[in-house]
Amino acid sequence: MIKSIAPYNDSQLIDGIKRRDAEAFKQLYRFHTGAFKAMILNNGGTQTDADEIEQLVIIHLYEKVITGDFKLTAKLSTYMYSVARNMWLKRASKKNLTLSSDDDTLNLPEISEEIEIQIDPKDDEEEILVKSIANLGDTCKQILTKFYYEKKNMRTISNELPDLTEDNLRKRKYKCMQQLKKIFEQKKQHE
Amino acid sequence: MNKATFLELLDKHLLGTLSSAERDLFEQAKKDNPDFQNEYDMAVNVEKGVTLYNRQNLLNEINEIRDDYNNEQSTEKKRTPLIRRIIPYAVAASIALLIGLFLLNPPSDPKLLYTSTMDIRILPKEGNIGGGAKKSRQVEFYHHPKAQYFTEDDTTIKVYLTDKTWINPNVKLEKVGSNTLKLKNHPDKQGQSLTVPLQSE
Repeated sequence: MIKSIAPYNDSQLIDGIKRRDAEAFKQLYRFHTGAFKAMILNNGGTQTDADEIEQLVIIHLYEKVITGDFKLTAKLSTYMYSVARNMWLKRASKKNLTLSSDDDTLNLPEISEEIEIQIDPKDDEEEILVKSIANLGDTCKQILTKFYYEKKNMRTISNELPDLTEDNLRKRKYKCMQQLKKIFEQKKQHE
Repeated sequence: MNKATFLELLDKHLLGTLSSAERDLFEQAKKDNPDFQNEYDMAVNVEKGVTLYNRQNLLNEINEIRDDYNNEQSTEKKRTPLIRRIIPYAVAASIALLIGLFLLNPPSDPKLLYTSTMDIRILPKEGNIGGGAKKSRQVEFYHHPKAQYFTEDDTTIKVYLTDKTWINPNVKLEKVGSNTLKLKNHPDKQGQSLTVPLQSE
């Protein structure tokens, strides 16, 4: 049986990314990452470089979308290409590679910021901290994620977590921080 | 300044919503009170940790989605050899038909190369689009008796068919850019462009 899924347009894709809809991500792989992966491969990058940058671009896009920092001023594929190019330029310069100018004609939107997506902890302290966060209860993880990662204010978070009033949420967040501090100190002593 | 006020300013700082007057107060409070500075340092560390924690989770999730996607693509590739085998015959038959149509009734629009009934699906195809190869992006059409398409492309166009991206029958495709096909008569996507994907080898 042939399954029929129409390609999402850019705003449907953005909505899907926000919801972490697997189909939206699949459509990114299907329609929006091939061009920049080819650009990386044609400019001295390896398949691993292309695959890694593909995932980093998607993480960057997700973060832009959930923090409300993403405005669709160009086609999504063009935006993603620009982000990938920005990331690849940085990685290529470390490898002493220069990017050919053959994509100058693509009218890529300017991305002035230096995009760096760190995934792995850079030292033991960061690693313990990440492990400590993983050990928190679900509500604390949710609160801290919504505040620190999704950059939502207390009012928005309390609307999303209806069991907590804004005032209670503030207190709960403070408790979560104290709990995290405690777990972190314990783990630090044991590791 | 009491601690509650400082924590409120700290939240605003982390969300990037401090006014300049509040920023001055906030910075001064940190300098004046080591406890506030500690709260600040902790919040900055937690922000970093929560970010890494969430990125790692997201990366695991999208790695799985990409694996699923790649598996679906491999399954599709295994399923298509019969179609691939009959394509040369279909193309030959179409060319014969086209020549016949041109001889009997040449099209009024010289750019209209081909009109037929077919169903179209699109699959990312590994191919080289960088550097000088940009101009030779290819889209290949597969035939199906229930849909229509036309293209004004004067080079090779290949649209790879999968079971994932059906375009409704009676849709017409017009090539409008080096990697862009415009859908015509599509009930949902009238006038919108569909980018033909190309992935690296």
